[in-house]
Formats: sequence, C-alpha cells, structure tokens
Amino acid sequence: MKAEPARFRRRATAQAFLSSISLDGSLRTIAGSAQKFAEEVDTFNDSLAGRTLTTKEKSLVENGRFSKNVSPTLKNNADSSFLNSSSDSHPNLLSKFFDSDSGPSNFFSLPFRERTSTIGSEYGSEKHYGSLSYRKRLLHHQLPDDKLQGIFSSSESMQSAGGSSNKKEVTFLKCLSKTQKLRGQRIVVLSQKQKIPLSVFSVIPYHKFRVDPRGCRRRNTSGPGPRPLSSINDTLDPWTMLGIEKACDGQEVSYGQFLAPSKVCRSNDVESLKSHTVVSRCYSHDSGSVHRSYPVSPPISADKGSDYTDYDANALDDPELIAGKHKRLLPFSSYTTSVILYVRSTDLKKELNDKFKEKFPHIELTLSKLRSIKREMRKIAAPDLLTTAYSYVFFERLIFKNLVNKQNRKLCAGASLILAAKLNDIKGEPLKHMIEKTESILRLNRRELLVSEFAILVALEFGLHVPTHHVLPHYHRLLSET
Amino acid sequence: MQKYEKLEKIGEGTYGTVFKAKNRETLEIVALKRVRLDDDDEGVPSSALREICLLKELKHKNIVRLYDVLHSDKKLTLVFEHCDQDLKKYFDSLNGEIDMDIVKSFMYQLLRGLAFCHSHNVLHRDLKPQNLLINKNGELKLADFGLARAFGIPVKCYSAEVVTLWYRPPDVLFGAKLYTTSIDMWSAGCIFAEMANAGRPLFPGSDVEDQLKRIFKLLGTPTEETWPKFVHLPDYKPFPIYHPSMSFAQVVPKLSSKGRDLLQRLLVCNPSQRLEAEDAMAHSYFSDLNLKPQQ
Repeated sequence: MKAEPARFRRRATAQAFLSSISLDGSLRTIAGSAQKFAEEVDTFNDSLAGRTLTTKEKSLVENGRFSKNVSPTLKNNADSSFLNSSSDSHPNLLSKFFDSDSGPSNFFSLPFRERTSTIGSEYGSEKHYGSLSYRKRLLHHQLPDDKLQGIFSSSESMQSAGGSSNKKEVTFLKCLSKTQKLRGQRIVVLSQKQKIPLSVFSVIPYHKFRVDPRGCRRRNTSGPGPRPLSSINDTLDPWTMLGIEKACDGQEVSYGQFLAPSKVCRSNDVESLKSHTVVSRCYSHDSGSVHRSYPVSPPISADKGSDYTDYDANALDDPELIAGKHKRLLPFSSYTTSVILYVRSTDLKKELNDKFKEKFPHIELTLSKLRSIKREMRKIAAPDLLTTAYSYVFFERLIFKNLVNKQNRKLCAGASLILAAKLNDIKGEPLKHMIEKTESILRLNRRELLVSEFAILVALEFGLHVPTHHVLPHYHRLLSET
Repeated sequence: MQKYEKLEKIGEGTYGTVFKAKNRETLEIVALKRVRLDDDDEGVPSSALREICLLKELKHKNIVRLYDVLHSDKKLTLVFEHCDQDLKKYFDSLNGEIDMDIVKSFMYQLLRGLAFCHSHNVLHRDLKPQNLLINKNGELKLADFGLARAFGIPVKCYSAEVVTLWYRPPDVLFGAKLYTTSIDMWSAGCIFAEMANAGRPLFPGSDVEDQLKRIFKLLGTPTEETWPKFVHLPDYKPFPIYHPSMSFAQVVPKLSSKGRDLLQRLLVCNPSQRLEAEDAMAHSYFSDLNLKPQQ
C-alpha cells in the first residue's frame, strides 16, 4: 500500500515539527503546513521516501524544496547545521525569496516590501494586509541593522519562514511564452544544468509617476465643499506627469518621431476609394439628418496601423458592465428574458468597479470614476456629441497608455476635450466658452489646461486623426443616451 | 546650436511666419512655420493642430511633407518640405501664356493628391493657387492644411466659413454645414479653369452674393430639379434665373474639348453631382498624360 507509508511519514513530520516548537508560540502555524511540505518533498526527494523523518532531517525537508533546484550535492550535504551557515547559502536565500511574496510570517517580506513599495505603493499595500498581524509578533525578534545578515544567522527565523501558512506555490517555467503573466511574481533564474540561481527579481506592474510627493496633500483636499481652484493642479507639470521630454531654457525639442503615419496604406486603396465614392455620391448634404445612410465606414477604417489602431471603443467602458451579477438570464424555449434584481447602488458600484479592476489591474481609475468624468466631459461639449465622442477616444487612449492617474485625470479629460473641439470646427467665441466651461466643470486652472494641451497632444503622438470606427461606437452610445 | 539656419522670410501663413531655412547637418532646404504659443489665449492654434495631426497621416508625393515638429517654451515650429514657388507665383511669371501639357500635368497631380486626402478621410477645404506648391521638377503638392478636417461621421456642425471666397462652392456659399469631398472638387474645378487661362481667376467675386451671381451667370441658376432642396440651405437667398450666356469654349478657349468636359463635370452646383477626384483622374482628358512636360 502506497498510502500507508506516506501517511506515516506525514504524521512523523508533523510530530517532528510540533516537538520543535519553541515556547513563545511563534511556530504554531507551522504544524499544518509541515504536512504540505512533506507532500511537496516526497514528489522529488526520493532519498527521503519511505523513511521516518527525524528531527534532524526535518530541516532537510524544509530545504529540500530548494535543494532540488539547486544542486544534488547540496541536497546530500544538507543537515541541520546547514541552517546556521550563513555564508554560501543560496538555497536559503532562495527560500526566503519565494516565501516572502505571500508568506505573511516571513521576516524577509518586511524589508523587502518596504524597499519595493516605493514604486508600487498601492500594489504593495494590497499584499501587505496579511502580514500586519504577524508584524507585531515579529517585532520582538529585533531585526538588526543589516536585516539580511540577521535573518540568515538565526535558525529561528528560518523556521518561521518555512512555516508560512499560505505558502505560494513554486512554479517552474521551462520557457516563457508571451502569454504568461508574471506580474507580481518573484522570478529566480537558475542555471540550466546545475540549477544554481543566477539572478533573482520581482515583476511589479509598471506605474509611471506613482510616487507623487504632493499626492498626499492633494488627497486631503478632496473633502466635501468647494475647493479653491489654486489648490488643484497648481504645481503640476503636465510634461513630467506624462513622461514626455519637455522643452526648457529655450531649447527646442523635436517630436518628429511621432510623425510617422499611424496607418499603413493599403495596396488596394484605389478600389476602396471607388466603392466609397459610389456611396458618397448618392446623398446631398443640404438636408441633413444624422440618421441617413452616409458612408460611415470609409476606406480608412480598414487600414491597419502601428500604435493605436487596435483601440476598441467598447473595451474600457464596456457597455455590458451595467448590471453585474444581479442580472439573471431566463432562457425559455420561445424567448429569452433577463431579470435585473434590485441591488443597492453602492453594492453594484463596488461590484462593477471590482470587475473593471480585475480586467484592467494596471489602470488607476475606477469604472465609476471613468464614467463620471465622461459624463462631465459630455456636459461641457453639449450638445456637440461628435466632439464628445472624439474626446472620449483621446481620453481612453491616454488611460490605455497608463498616463492617467488621480492627479492628472481631469487635466487629461479637459485637454482631450479642447483638442477634439478644435478639430471639430469649434473656434472663436464657442471655443472660448468651451474652455471656460471646462475650467469650471472640471475645476481646472486655465493655464494648466492650456499648457497640458500640447503635452497631451504629444502623449497621443499627434494621432488625433483617428479611424471612424474608433469614434462611431461612442457617438452612437451618446446618441442613444439622449 | 539651432538645427536650422534661417535664410529668408517666405511669407505669413494663416497662423505665423514662414521662413526658408537650411538644415545645418544635411544642408537640406526646408520651410519653417513659426507658431506662437500663448498660454492665456486658446492654446495650440487649431490650424497648427490640424496640420500636424492630418499631415502625419498624409504621406504622398503630391502632398507637402511635414518633417518635424519642434517645441520650445513659447513657440512651435513646423518643419516642412520646401518648394520653390506656389502656383500663384508661377502664374505671375507666365505673362499670360501657359503650356496646356503643364496644365494637364498639374491638374492630374492636384487630383491625385486630393484623391489621397479623400481616401484618408481628409477634406482640404482651402484649395487655391497659393496653397499649391510647385518645385523645379514640375511636381505639384497640396499645402496648408490649416483648415483641413476629418470627415466620415456626418454631422451638421462643419464650419461654413471655409475656402477662400473665389474657390468656395455654391452649397457652402449658401451656408451648408455638412459637406463632403465635393467641397474640394469645386475648388479643383476653379483652379483648373484658372490654370487653363494662365492665372485669370474664374469667379473673382467681391462678396458672397457677387460670388454666387458670377457662378450662376456661367452655369445657370440651379432649380429644384437640378439641385433638390437647395432652397432649404441655411443662408439661401433667391437669385434671378440666369441662363448661361457663355459657352465653356469661350470661358476656357485654350482648353481641349475633353478638358472642357472634365471642367464641366467638376463645376456642378449640386454637390452630389460633382465628379470625385478618383473619377476625375480616370477622365479621358488624361489619356495622353505626360507628367513631365517641358517647361
């Protein structure tokens, strides 16, 4: 019977673990996971199979996970004293490293997180909550100045590291494909033959301008009541904010690289044009009703391009994302109907925002915020729905480029509107009026708005002449909403 | 050090000064358009915005090339391909004589550039001899896209204040706020006639009313039959019924009969009946086309 020795072994491991628990109780959680360890270990550690584990060998088990990856010699030499040899210990380092990601009880996670969180503060805090409860307990271990050294010289900490209750599984990737998502993971690169770790790194979602020293102050001003205009975006530099090289001290900056056409011209241009002109000649433009059949998909729409031609107007603000799980579909034999259950608006909002976050983890905006900004944009451009539709395309493209954050979102929205308006023949008084409306509704400073206009234009790589099919879905939605 | 060395002032564009300049590295001659950026004004001038965004997409041998956009604190510089002269200056140098083969070549290139714009959803909206550049090789290029716009989603919000009066089609003169490629085709027709007459404008009106009168005197006042619903246009004003008193043979005496036929198909009051650029290129007038006639 194969199951018998396995169970015995597990019990033995568990007992071994329990007996080694120190009196301060810090290892209580280890008992459960010891079993997991043993399971993991016996899949590859044949030398241990079928034997009762002694206390001494237990530590080998703990390291066994890594000795497999490291080198056979290391595995054979492993014993309890191994733990105390702080020098020459990649496997330990490795173990710490793997554990730290989801291992709340881990020492290493504290300094490590603190170091990385400067880049992805939000991301970091997400992962952090689990470790909070452990932090207190760990404090009395008194981390020495050199934390790494401290960790590796203490066998106690090593054991606690191994005892993580919700251990992250170690996956071995033979070769990386493009579809593999490594976001938020630790990667250890091992040499092919000897499995010696060559390099260790974390993959953290990239966020430009995440660290904004003014961010905190600004958040404080977001309380109820009107905010003075000067407090918003007063010192914000749209160029740095968007990560664009800026002209300074009379220096000229060339943006010629953005002048490459965004669309590759099709070889059968002539043909497409002909079919287009046939349609366009069947209407006269004097009696205009928007519902007439115009050539709505002119040749350009089919063109393939380099950067933003894959923009999908319904991707970000998905029109389907309105009812959430509270929609029940009833497919009858003769017809299908859906029932939308009553749901508290706050619950629905949260659910939709969660879904959105799941779909676009790197986007800083929530779906409800995006929609509320779009409502404001529409209010400013009203009744010009075409300008509104164009501004949506520009704004959403900025979001997709990860350039929109809490600090600059209104600026981006405002600049998108002004750019769209200018391209849609709004000029003179109506344009002035619209800039003023943008200032007041989006609470922007005029100077900031106009300075950021060119920055946003550059951020969009001058690509404001967008294919009709990018704009039309927005336009149709806007039409149907009126 | 500046990348370009200013050589001379060429003229004032719609939104700034144009200079002839030399690239210090490549020694290439370019045209620089200087645009002032005033923070407290309206931001980037829409004409500059249009030129940048539309010319980015329009790379064609008959469309002026935008090489670079330079930005500094208070100004924006657009770096364009330099051409020796524009069609207006070319006319001035003619002394009333023009080779009909050159007319044909220029007209074909104008249509080819226009067809490219239209196939890329761009209306030029300001075609006139000053905006057609000519270089030493007899190449013609559409320039000044400061009034150009995208079309495709038809909304009645297009500006009616477009195209220089002499080249403005009757529908836009009547205040049409929705138009399509036909707007440029009318201008192309006017330019065609002007070229054939070695630079004498076809309809040099003094105001909108005079412009329409000149048009109707040559083509006849449109009727509900030739142009349905044209009386509903925003700025419609009734005009006396003119009957064409002059034949096209008198208007453009030097132009061949095929050329006159093409011209008549372009100068149609009803915009929906006007020939498209691509169709115009296929007209039999161009069957014996020589793109590089002796100048």
